[in-house]
Amino acid sequence: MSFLKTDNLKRLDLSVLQNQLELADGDWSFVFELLSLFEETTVELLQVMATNLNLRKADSLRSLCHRMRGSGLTIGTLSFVSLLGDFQECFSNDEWLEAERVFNEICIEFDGIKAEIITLQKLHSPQNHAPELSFKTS
Amino acid sequence: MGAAAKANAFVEQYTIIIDDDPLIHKVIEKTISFKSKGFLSPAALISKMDKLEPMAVFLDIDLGGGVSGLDLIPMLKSKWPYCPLIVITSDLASESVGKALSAGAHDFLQKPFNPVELRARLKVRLQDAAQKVERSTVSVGDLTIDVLHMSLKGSKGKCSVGAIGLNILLAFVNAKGIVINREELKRNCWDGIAVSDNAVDRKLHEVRKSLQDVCVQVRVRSIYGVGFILELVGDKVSEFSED
Repeated sequence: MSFLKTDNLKRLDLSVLQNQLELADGDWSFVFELLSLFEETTVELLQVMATNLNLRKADSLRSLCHRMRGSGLTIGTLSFVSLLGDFQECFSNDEWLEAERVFNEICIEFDGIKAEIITLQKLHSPQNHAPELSFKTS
Repeated sequence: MGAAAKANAFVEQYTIIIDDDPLIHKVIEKTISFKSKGFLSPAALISKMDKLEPMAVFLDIDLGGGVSGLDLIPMLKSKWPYCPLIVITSDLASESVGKALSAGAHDFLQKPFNPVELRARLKVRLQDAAQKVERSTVSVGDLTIDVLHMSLKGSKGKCSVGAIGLNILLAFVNAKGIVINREELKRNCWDGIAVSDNAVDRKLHEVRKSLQDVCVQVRVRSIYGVGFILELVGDKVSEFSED
């Protein structure tokens, strides 16, 4: 079993992804399938979240946060999950302006995650034997 | 069916995953290495529930849109009483886990899943369920008596049976081919209540009718002047097994 060791990725926790990689017996395509699914669903959920934020619908936002937190934890986007917690705290306390600020941070964090997914894909593409990759056998 | 065969028949099925996040479906399915049927909402599951017999159910507590998995637990328990029900949550501090366990869930898992833990918990729950099935069912020929749910299942179908009818059938099974007379049935099957011969005959008639409806191999035969015996049709020597 091999896993990626790199300092290029700050937003994706590779120890969490390592679990998924082990599940798939080292098949990275399963990890990328999960990451793509996360990306697709989060794009949609952030749009719904923006709408609900404008409408100040706390219950719907809470549900969306929960949903995204589960996915985020599963693929190791720990800062993203932490921001969702901050966001939830803000709107739960009726601090809507602060909630809007944190929501923007969440969107920026998500853009960063998307960029890291692309980096990871490039680093781990079968055609690319990137020098910054190091493999460890367990 | 023997114990080992029954256990195998149990684990060769599939799990059901009820979670509004398709990502979770993929991870669970990959982790447990069993086929799974995924549902993103309770409504999607309920419409197909009658055709499903899962080996285990994974249920998210917060299913989005204000829908709680907690509300689904009584229905799942009623429909699949032996099936391990494992709730999943991303918030262990939530009161929901306690509520889920109180409502009858067997176990819980926190997201993100630790694959080793998930497999281990599922294995334990499946073993528990298999033991529960073993303890509460009795098989004779093509008839299975579900003691816990007071029902009979055979090659022709299934039906429910009342407490007295169940007692009568179990008395016959426990007699292992020995004739039982009316007095013994009265003593053992009516919980100390005095009943007439006519009441015994009426109940025996109901039991016979139920057996005819659900199975082809098991019958209650009258032995004139002696009593009654449970026999396997077509067999010279009755064989009974209590799995």
